[in-house]
Amino acid sequence: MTTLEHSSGSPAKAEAHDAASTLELRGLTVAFPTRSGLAVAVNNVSLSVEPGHVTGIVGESGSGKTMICRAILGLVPRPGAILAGEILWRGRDLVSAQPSAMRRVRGSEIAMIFQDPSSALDPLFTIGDQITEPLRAHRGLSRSSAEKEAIELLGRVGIPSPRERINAYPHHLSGGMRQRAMIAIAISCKPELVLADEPTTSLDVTIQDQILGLLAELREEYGMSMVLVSHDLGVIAQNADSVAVMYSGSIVETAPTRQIFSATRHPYTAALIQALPSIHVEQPRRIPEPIPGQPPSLDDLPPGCPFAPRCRYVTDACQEVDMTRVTVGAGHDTACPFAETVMVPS
Amino acid sequence: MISARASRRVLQSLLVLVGVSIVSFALIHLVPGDPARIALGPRASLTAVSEARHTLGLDKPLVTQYLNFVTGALQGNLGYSIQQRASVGSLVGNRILPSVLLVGFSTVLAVLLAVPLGLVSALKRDRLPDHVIRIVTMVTFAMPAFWLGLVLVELLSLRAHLLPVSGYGGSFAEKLKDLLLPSLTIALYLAPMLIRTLRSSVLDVLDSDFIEAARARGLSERRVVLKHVLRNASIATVTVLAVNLGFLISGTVVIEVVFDIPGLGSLIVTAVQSRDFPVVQSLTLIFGAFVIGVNLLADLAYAVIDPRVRQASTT
Amino acid sequence: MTPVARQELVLSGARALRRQVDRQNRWADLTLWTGAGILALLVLAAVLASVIAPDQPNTQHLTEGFLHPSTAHLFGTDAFGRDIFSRALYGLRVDLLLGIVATYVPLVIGMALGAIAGYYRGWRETVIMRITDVTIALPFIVLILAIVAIVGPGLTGVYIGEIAVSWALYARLTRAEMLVLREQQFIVAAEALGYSTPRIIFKHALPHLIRPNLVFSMADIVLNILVLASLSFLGVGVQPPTPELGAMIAEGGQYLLSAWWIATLPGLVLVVLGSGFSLVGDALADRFGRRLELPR
Repeated sequence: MTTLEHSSGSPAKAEAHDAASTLELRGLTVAFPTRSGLAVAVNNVSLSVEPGHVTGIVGESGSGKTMICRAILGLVPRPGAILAGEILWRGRDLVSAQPSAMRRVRGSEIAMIFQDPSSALDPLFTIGDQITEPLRAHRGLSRSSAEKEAIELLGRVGIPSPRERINAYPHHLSGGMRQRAMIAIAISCKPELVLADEPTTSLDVTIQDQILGLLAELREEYGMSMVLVSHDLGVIAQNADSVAVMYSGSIVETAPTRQIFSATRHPYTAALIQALPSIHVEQPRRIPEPIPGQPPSLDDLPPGCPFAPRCRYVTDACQEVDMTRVTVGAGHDTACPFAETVMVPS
Repeated sequence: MISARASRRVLQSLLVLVGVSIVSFALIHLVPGDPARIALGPRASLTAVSEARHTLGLDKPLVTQYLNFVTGALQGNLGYSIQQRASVGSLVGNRILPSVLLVGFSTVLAVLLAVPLGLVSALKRDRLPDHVIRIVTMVTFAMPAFWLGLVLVELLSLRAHLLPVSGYGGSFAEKLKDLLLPSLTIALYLAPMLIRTLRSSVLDVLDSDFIEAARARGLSERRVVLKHVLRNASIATVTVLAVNLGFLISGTVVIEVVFDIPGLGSLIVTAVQSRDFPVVQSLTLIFGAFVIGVNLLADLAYAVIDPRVRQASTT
Repeated sequence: MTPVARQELVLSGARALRRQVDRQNRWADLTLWTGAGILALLVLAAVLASVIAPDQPNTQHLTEGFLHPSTAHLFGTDAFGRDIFSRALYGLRVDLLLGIVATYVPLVIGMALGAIAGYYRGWRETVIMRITDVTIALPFIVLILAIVAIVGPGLTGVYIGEIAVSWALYARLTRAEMLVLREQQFIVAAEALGYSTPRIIFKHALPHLIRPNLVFSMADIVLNILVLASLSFLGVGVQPPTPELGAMIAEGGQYLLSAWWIATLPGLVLVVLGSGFSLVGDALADRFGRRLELPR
């Protein structure tokens, strides 16, 4: 089983029991029953997140990125379930953890930022109320000290006049401010890992950079690791230390961020890069090239490589590929066994 | 403070109320034949009929008649029942309290029954408690209210002698005791619809992102349900009650007859049986106004529960 | 973990999930087929009443009054010695027919009006929806009672009353669906292609509008039958001696203590009939992802 290893050594923040990574997924498989059969949302995914680093997960919508985050927190919605695999958090398997133990992890050790802050905040309670919830649940603070802390947090995430805003309801705030409030909730218990699920997708372009900047700042300040999920390779390129590319529930390629652009080793990744507007990459004035076709339906996966039907290098042998990743460089592996032969010469 | 939203809703309700008044006014004119003749019966003399036409204002143009009907109703003058030799206003006045008590009492019982069951059904979706609640709900939904009433009378009053059979006692305590069985019947009749609607509303709430976000910040399931789900479901409860009000009133009308309660329901039934049109007309208007009023109240109540509406009404 | 062991684990998990789905599907199928079975049986019984019934519904045997249910009289006999089982079969006919007519005629009317209101918006919507609001503001039993008062007691009045009232909820439901639908790509596309309005409404929108209406109609049938029964109970519906389940319950009400079966057994038939429709409605609601309750 391959993991994502990083070439650049970073100061290990985690405890002695696992110096290499704080979070490690091993063969995670999540499936949903459907009327016709089974939809495999996450297929045999292995990935590790190093302390203090940002691991990006990129892929089209429905490729299973969000489900990985939910699975980590034990929140796979019914009737879906984790069929196999381990989620090792500081050496402990969360898949087999008791609900009460899981609850202590959520929000206090691992926190999550949601895609759409306007639906992720309960409209009937004030921002302050929702920030104090984890403070009181995990840190046992009294109402007044939790409130004091909430005001501080709101100020820290850049919400002006936090003393008044604490009594505001979600609909009083703009989208950007709501996402800041969500971030304040996420960092309230100083978690070691933040799962940011498309944190800027629902926001205006001008706000996106502010939010990403804030996240980077906070990560530095609190020494947090982060899983950054996005469909936008550009966002990942600017913010992540390493990237995992997902397609139809499987990770097709993982690499340090620089390498994924300079030494692409999977046709799907290459297609994603091609589809980027040129402002993100060095090549000037290149016309973005859309990827032809649609991703396959999750409950009807073709045998072999799921990307084969849309792949420009497809051969008959692609039906035999078992999606086990092969290492092609330092911290770089790909699920395409033909990548080195077909992609490098071109 | 009268907000834009509230005044818009009041205006809308008034419009519907005008519609209802037109319908109830039109009723008497839809009857084939001369309303005065019908009111007096076939054996009345011609002079009596023309006299009645005059007292009832039937000799005036329709628009005048309608305006008189409306201004009369606004002043509490609901017309005169020739058959019962009494003003409709006094007939209604004597019978309004039992109906109001009955409606209130059964609403409380129905909510006490439906809210926990709807919640459990949604929380235990597709598991045994949900299946049981759904089946029982379906069967009770199919029970005619009056049959349910008769069966309850048979079981609880005639056989077990737990509660009075029918009637409506003197003192307030006696009245409440007499109303217990009828109210329970109406509540059982109303509850299935409420449970069903609440279940799907709660399922919607459970599916929402903010519930998942609440779980993701490590709140206990108990807290998630008791705080976030319950508060959001309470909005649904108000809606559900308002939507099913017609249902509640239908139950009340029939049950008043079954249990011989001297309320507005039994009054309209006797009036329909004897074709006492002034009474039918006024009661149609009163029931319509009641439904419109309660819906308006429910709408304004959202402003208390839901801060989104509260804000919308201050701007 | 070896790939083989992993494969095993995934497969067994998949089997467990599939079992769960199968269980749910079985439950949905069970409700659907139980309901359909009940309805088929009762419809058959109503249609074949004249063949199945051991006796004429109105034949009196004054010496055989108040007989307990037995093999000779499955549901016993009433005060006039009439066979309650035979009367229930003929009564079922009256209730079923009214239930179906008083539900599906308004469904067609309401859907047409709702679709027009939702599609065209503007003055058509205003007029239709305000009339709908007024109709819904009046508690249905009150409005039906008022109409019965005009037309006179009897089945005709009930038919007119129920049809005059029931369409409104379908109109409201259909309009709401239509408002959502007309914004969707395939309707917009059909408009862009220059298809005629009737073609868009009937060919493209109708299939989507019919499902929620169909689901709600299952609850509505039950309501309409119960209203008929209630009106007969109140003495303004079906007139004696015509057998009708609600009227039979009313007649038996006074003998509850001495002859419980007269009111109770016809009541049970009504409950079974209503449960049949509810079961089918519930299964359809599940299948279509729709709701069964009153539309707002």
